[in-house]
Amino acid sequence: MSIKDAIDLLFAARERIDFYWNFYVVVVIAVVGWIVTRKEPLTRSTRLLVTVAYLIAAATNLVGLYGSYAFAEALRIDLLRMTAGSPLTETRMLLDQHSYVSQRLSAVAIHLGVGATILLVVWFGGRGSERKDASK
Amino acid sequence: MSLNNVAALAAVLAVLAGVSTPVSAQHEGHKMPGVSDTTKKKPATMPKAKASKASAKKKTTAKPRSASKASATKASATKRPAAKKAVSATKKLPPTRPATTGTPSHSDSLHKAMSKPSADTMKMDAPHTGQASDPAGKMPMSQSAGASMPGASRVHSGHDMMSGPLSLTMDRMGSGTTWIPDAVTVPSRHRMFGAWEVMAHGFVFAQYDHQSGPRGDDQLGSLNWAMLMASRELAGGHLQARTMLSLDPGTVTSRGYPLLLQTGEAFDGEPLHDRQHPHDFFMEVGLLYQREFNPRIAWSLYAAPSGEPALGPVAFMHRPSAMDNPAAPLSHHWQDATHVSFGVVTAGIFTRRWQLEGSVFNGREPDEHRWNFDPIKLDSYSGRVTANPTNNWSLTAGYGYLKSPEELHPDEPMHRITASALHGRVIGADGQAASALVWGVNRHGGDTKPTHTFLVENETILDKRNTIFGRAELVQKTGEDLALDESSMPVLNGSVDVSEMRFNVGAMQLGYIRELARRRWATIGLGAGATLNFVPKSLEDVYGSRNPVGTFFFLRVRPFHLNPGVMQRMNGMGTSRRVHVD
Repeated sequence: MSIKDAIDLLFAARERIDFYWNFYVVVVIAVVGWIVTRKEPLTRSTRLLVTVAYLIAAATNLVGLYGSYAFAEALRIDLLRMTAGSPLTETRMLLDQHSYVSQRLSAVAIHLGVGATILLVVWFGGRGSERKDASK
Repeated sequence: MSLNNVAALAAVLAVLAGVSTPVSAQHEGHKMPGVSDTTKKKPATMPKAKASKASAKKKTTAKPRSASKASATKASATKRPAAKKAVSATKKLPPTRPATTGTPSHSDSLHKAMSKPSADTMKMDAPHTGQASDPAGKMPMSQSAGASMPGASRVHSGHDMMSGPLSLTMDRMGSGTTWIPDAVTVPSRHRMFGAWEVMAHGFVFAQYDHQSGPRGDDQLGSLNWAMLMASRELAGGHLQARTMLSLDPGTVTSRGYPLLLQTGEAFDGEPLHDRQHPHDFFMEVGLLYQREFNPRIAWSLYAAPSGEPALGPVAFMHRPSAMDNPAAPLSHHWQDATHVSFGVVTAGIFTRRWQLEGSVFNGREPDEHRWNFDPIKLDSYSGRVTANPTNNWSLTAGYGYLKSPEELHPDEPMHRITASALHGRVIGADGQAASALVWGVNRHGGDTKPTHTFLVENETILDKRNTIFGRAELVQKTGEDLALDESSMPVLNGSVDVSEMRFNVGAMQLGYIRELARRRWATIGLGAGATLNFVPKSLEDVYGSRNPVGTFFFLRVRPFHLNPGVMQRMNGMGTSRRVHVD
C-alpha cells in the first residue's frame, strides 16, 4: 500500500465519521423536536416504541462511528510508520499528536449522555404537569 | 523520502491537524479537487519570468492611488494576524522547489495526493501575480503561503478588489454603516463584473417554532434575507449600491413568528406581543459614497429610501455573534430596531480605527404593510461613535431622537441610547468566536423613567461542521409593551394602571447547528435552539409558568464561512475566479 492509498482510505474514514455524526444529529433533533412539540402526553406503548427505535438508531450509529474512528486511528499510526525518517519532522509530530482515541471516547460519552437524557425525558418528563392537571 | 511522500504527508496534516496549517491553503474552497483538476490544465506555479511580467503589467496599469494601497497592504499585514500566522506557519516547512522551472513541484504532487471529488470546487483561470500571496511582501515567492500549498499559490492580493477608502475592506461593514471586528466575518461571496465588485450574502431558515404556555404558539415558516452590494471607484471615491430583501412577510406572515416576551410594532391596529414582527421586503435600498480627505481620514455619505441610520449596534442578523440564530433578541426595540427605516441620510468621517456619524431619518417603525415602501420622512436624528481599536474589538455608543416611532402612539417621541462591544477571534483554520455585549435604553416622551435592556450573546463556529450559539438578556418591559390590562392581573383589582407597570423579564438561549452538506458556495445546517424565559411572579398566570420555554428546529442555508485571511485571498481572486459545480 502506498502513502497515497493510505491517505485515500483516511479521507474515506473521515467521510464516514462525518456521515455518522450527521445521522446522529438528525436523529437526536428529530426525537427532541417531537418530544418538545407534542401536544398530548405520551402513552406507555409510545414511550416503549420511541425508546426501542432510539436505542437501535443510536447503538447502530455508535458501532459504526467507533469502528470508523478505530480505522482512522490505525491508518494514522501506519502513516507515521510509513513516513518514518521523513524530513517533515514537525509535520510528523503534529500527526503524532492528532490521535483519534480521544475522539472515539468522546463519541461514546456523548452517545451515552445524550441517550440517557433523552430517555429520562421520554419516561419521566412532563410527569409534574400531568400530576398538576390531574389535581385540577 | 520522495517529494510525493513529503507532499502526501503534508496533505494528511492539512486534513488532520487543521489548526496548524496555513489558513488559506487549508480551506476547502482552495485546496480541494477542483483546484487540482484545473491545475492539471494550467500549472499552478507560473514561471517566474511570466509572473514578473504580469506583475509589471499590473504596476503600469495601476491608478495613482495604488501608492496608498501599497502602504495599506503593509498595514493590512499587521492587521490580519491570521494571514500573518499562515505565512509564518509555512516558514516552518522546508523550502519548496523554486517555481521557475515549470516542472512538477510539491504542490503538484500534493494536488495529486489530494484529488478527491467534491462539490464545492473552484477554478482559477487567470495567472497570478507572484508576490501577492505573501501579505507581508517580505518572503520570496517560493516560500510564501501561496507557493507552498496548492490553490493558494494563485491568489492575488485582496487589496486589489476589496478595499475602499483607507483600504478598509468591505468585510468590516455590518448592517448600514456599522462596523464589525476585523477578526471575524459574516459569510459572503464576492465577484468582479468589470469595474464593479459585487458582494452577495444571505440566510434562509426553514424553521419550526414552538413557544409554550397560554401566550405561546407554533409555526412552520421561513426567515430569510438576501443582500447584494455592488461597489466601484467613482470620482476619486468609492461608491457602493446596496439592496437587502426579505420574503418574511410571506413566509412568516405579516403577524410575524411566535417569540415569547417579544414586543414591538403593530398588526391590525393592535400591538404585537409574544411575536416577532417580520422584516419588510425592502430591508435596505441605498447608496454609500466614501472618499478620502487624506490617507488617514475619509468621509462618507449614505442615503437610503430604506436603510439603517447611525443608531445602535450592528443589527442582530448581521452580527457575527447572532447570524446563525433565527430568534430575534427581546431587546431588539431598545437596541437595533431602526435597522429598517424608510428614509435615511447619514454623514460620517472615519479613520481606520474610528468612525463618527450623524443621521437624519424616519423614526417611525415600519407599518404592517410589509411589501412596499412606507412614506419617506426625515423627522428624527441620531449620532454614533464607533471604534475598532484592535482587530478583535468593535465598540459603539450613540444617541437617537425618534420623533414618532410608534404607529399606535404617534404623539410620543422617544429618546434612545445604546452602547455595544463586539468581540471576535479566529478559531483554528475554519472557525471563529464572536461575542456581543449590548446595552440599550428607551425613554418615551413624558416618561421620567427609562427602560433598560442588557444583552450578551455568542456564536462560535467550531469548525466546518459544528456551530454553537447562545444569548442571555435582561429586559425591562412595561405592561403596555406586553399588552397587559386589568384582566391580565385581576389580583390588583384595578388599583394600579397595569400598562404603566414595569416588569423585569429575561431569557437564556442555547443552540447548536450541524452542517450537513456543503454545496457550491452554500452550506446547509440542521439546528436547534431552546430558550428558557424568566418572568416575575406577577406574570406567572399570564405565561402559565415562571419559566416558559421556546424552541426552534431549523434547516439553515447560507454561504459557508471563511476566516478573514481566506476571505481576503478568495476575494482577491475576484477577477479571475469562476466558481462552478462539477
